[in-house]
Amino acid sequence: MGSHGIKDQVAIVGMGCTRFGEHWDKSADDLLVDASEEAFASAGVAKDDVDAYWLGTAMSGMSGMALARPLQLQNKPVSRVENFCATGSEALRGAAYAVASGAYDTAMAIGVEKVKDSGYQGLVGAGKTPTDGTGRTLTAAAMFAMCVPAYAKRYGVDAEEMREVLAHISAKNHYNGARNPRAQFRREVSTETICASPLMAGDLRVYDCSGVADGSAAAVVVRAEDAHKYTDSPLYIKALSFVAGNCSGNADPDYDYTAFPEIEAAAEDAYAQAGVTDPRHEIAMAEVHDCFTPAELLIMEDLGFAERGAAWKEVLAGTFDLHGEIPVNPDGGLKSFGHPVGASGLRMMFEAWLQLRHQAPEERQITTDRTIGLTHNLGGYPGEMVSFVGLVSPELG
Amino acid sequence: MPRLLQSIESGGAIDEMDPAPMSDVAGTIATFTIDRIAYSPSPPIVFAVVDFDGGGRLPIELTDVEADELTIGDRVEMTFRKLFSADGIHNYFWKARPIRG
Repeated sequence: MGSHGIKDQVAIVGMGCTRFGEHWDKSADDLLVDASEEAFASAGVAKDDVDAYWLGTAMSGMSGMALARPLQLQNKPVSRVENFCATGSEALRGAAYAVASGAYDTAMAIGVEKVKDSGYQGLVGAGKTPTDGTGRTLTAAAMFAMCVPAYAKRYGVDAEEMREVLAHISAKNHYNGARNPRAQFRREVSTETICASPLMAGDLRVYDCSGVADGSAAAVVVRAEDAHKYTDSPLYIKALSFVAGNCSGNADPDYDYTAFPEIEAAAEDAYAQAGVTDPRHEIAMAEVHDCFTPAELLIMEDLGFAERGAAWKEVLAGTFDLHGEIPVNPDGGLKSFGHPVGASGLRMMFEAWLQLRHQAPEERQITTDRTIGLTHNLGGYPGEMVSFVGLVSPELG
Repeated sequence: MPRLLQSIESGGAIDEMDPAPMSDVAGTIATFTIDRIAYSPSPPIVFAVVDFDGGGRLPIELTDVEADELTIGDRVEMTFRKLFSADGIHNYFWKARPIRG
């Protein structure tokens, strides 16, 4: 791809993240105020010091006024962005690129979603464009369940092994989430419980599916050379990559539902921007889009953390556990947090912010000599998705 | 069918696709799913990605099928069926069913 990237040009100097969960007593406005106040304090700035804002929300507000009103911003530019489940990361792209361009000194990326009150799963309203009425009406769980028999058949994994792999991913993420006060679900869940939970779609059980939640998260970004005016421990952006799929997987018999080409392409571009040549041995930790357990399995291969057809063995070997070689979703992931669409990408970045600066709580702080963290979103379904890959590090160069 | 503005295989040609009747063409299941949550007049929804003999793919609902016996590679044929009814209006479209014997 022709992206040049903005490696080491922009730094995150402050972040905030609300607890994710059932915030019946809070509106989207309340959550935006909570996340932004924490981020302002973290960066040591006031709202007037931030020159421009990017608000990510899929369904909780329209236009920049959805942020300007609750924060009572005075004559500030606010862009409201949406890009399916990568909406929060899209806000970060906008803010970071604006600072890199020189247009602004300081920008905020903030994401929010109120999903619990809607009564539905994540992307309500996203598919409400007019159609001829003949399209499918499947749940997201059913769509991602299609990857399970496809992967199992291609790589010769039997049904019992496959169930064990998916349960390991779920149990790992719940283990991590149990150690995170901001997570919605804070209990460890045994593989026995996971495997005995009700079937939802295909081979996916309740505990293979991420939950629904309300939440908000925010980041303040500045030019890298200004970073130390705000903090002693900034996080430098190494890469921001995005691919909007052309939906060819629905029509192309060459697509076999055992990989997500959009993610592979976004990762390749991000690694090129950052100069990463061997992700398996260079990435310190990753926050990935575990909307459903088979998604996390395939993502491990798309990101180059495992060879094609080998991720299921790596999962069982503990490679991606909290103290494995590459901790994946050390904060508990979508599995423990739920998925407020506009906030999730920035919630992931918040965990990279904590982990890479050694400020995560002791019970889940990772230990590693590596310095590069990865955040990842997908939005859509197998064969038709958007994908974001971001890379950050506390070190320049 | 929706108009495909550009086809990768035709090198980005626009509006140069020919209509091809597929109702009598059989296909093979590439992968499948069973949706126990989504609404259907005939739950659960059994749904498959079908690759047609000679080319072409369509993700489509299955009917007249034993969900527990479904596997990748199963052969199916097209059948015109009712999808939904609303306000007294019935919406028919194509589904796929296993080829018997």
